[in-house]
Amino acid sequence: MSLTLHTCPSCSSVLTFRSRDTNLIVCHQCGNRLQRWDDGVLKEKPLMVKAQDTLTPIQIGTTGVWHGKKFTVIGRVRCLFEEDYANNWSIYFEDGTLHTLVDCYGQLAVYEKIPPDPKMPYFKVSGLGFGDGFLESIDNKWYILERKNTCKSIEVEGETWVFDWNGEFTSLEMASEGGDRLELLNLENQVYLNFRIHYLAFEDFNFQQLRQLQIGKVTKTYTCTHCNKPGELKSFPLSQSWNCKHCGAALSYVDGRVKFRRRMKHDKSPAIPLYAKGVLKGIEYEMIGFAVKQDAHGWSWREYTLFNPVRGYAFLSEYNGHWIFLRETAVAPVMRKSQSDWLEYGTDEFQLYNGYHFNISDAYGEFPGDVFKHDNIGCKEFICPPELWARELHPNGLCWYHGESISRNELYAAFGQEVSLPYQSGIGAIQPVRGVVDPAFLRISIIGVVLIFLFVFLIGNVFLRNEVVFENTWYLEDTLTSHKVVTSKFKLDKSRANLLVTLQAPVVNNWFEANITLVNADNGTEYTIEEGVEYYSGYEGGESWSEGSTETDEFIQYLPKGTYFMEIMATKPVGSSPAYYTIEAKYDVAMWRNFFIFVLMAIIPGLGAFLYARNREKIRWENSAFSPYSTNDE
Amino acid sequence: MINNPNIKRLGWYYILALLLAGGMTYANYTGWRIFSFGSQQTWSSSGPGYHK
Repeated sequence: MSLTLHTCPSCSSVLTFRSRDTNLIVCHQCGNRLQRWDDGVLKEKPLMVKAQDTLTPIQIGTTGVWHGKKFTVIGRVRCLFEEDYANNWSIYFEDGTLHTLVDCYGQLAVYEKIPPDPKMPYFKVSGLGFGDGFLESIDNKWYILERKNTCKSIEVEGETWVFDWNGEFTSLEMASEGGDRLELLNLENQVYLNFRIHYLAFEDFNFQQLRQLQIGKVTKTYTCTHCNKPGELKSFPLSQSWNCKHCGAALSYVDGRVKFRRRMKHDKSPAIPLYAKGVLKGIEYEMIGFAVKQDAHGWSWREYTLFNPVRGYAFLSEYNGHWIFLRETAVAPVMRKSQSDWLEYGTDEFQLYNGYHFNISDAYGEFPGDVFKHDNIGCKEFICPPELWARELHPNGLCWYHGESISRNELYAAFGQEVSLPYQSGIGAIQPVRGVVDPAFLRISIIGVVLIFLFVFLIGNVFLRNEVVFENTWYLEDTLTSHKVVTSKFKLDKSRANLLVTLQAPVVNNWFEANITLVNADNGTEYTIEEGVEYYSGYEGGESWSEGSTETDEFIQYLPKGTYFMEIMATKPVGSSPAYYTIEAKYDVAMWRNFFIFVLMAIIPGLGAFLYARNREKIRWENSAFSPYSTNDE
Repeated sequence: MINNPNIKRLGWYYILALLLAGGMTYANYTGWRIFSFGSQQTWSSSGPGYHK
């Protein structure tokens, strides 16, 4: 680290520049703002405002790790946009490099300066609609425009790199399907800067020496411009709009002043009381805002704004007693086709569930940004239970929210049993339903089970003997109507097996029956079956017909081993047919009937599960205008 | 694949299929014709049935 020492022209304090890439320092003694020129000369910048906001966990001296390299926060440029602001912290690495860590409403990203892309100049990017149309980069990736913001002024602190002395610039944020994100800045005098954005979770930075922030602390008091009564805010300046608890006035913070928007009815009370504290997803939140949102068709739902001074905002959305926990995130799906009815994120496919425009019809507490300024914000919701992605289109671009289903038990555990949660009806958009399996996966499982059954059955058949243990033919006289015979003995030596007895008799327009008793010569047990054949044929109306068969068979099942013989009592009508009959006994034969019955027993519960899942999903999609079940059932 | 939640939810089905496959193998090996009633009459000196 190379230090450059200067002297403050105002108070003569020693000023230390740690980085060669910084160009401004705020004197720690007198607060003088000093620009460092390339030749090392310091020039006072009295019009530059010193950043005073302390509602951020990061401060000068905070250390962290990025890409395995340790850094120290040495200063910041606080950019004030129309409805929000961002802290651009200068982070100085041990190898002497300087980057910018942007901290905006709990989202953190390292901005890495890169050369401009000649295929994506600022003016071309600026002409894109939000999420509509795309440009291809020099490395053949396509990028969409996600957000556009105009900075009105900047404030400074510590030692930092000021990229626009005017404090007025426009930024464009672009996103690529692969997750790459870029920021393009249009500064004064047609100067453009490009950055690659690396978003990371708070935990991944391994921060040390953070500012100690307290949940529930009042950050601003105000006087309502409508009723002149006092009020308090817990998340100002992050919150830029709020509602007066005395008169219901919806107020916005515009250009440093409180502006009255309209009055709220205050006829709906929140289920979770205002300023209740609770731990959700491992983070302690305070409920600081409640809003009733309504779409163009009159459907309304409730939204609760949660705040943690270190982690920023989260939201609880409730409809029909079903709850979703949401957080805004810039690491979100990138849709090349904004009109698509599905999106892929990670390995999951999300289906379009809802598309609507909404307004706020009632509100309590405070909210990030100016929620009362814009009407008819467009929103699309994509679901893959138990998760959801909500895409809102605001005047300055796209905002993505990632949602997860949250149970009533989790809310009771967080906020206590005293909260009065609304009764649940139907199935929520992303509510996990017990026992419901993805139908495609179920279908594959059933087919797989059938194929495995077939394989097991065929393998089992390899071990069956299919052995003919007895066969004989007897000739009959025409005048005989009955024939009794006792066969010779044969051995069946498998512990348990079946015997397939086949009767064959060449009947012609006649019938033949045999009553067959299989006798176990060892213990006298008898097994009796009756078999009969009949065959008729003729010629009628120019066509020949036939009916019946000259052969039949019957199983004797589950026979123990032993020595056996058969007693056969055959009967036939008087006449020449049949002239003879044949009895064959085949031992240990495959029974395909068993296979089909077992397969049916396996399919039926699977089918039941499939129908159950389909029924539950139909109920889930009842509240959606994009239900895949409405067209299937027509 | 192993972490697929659908596999866990269908555990009961896979166990049922396993039991049925085992039953089918046993029935096929021992010549037991399941759900077969009345086509075969048995008589033994120690049990029910009739002697023809």
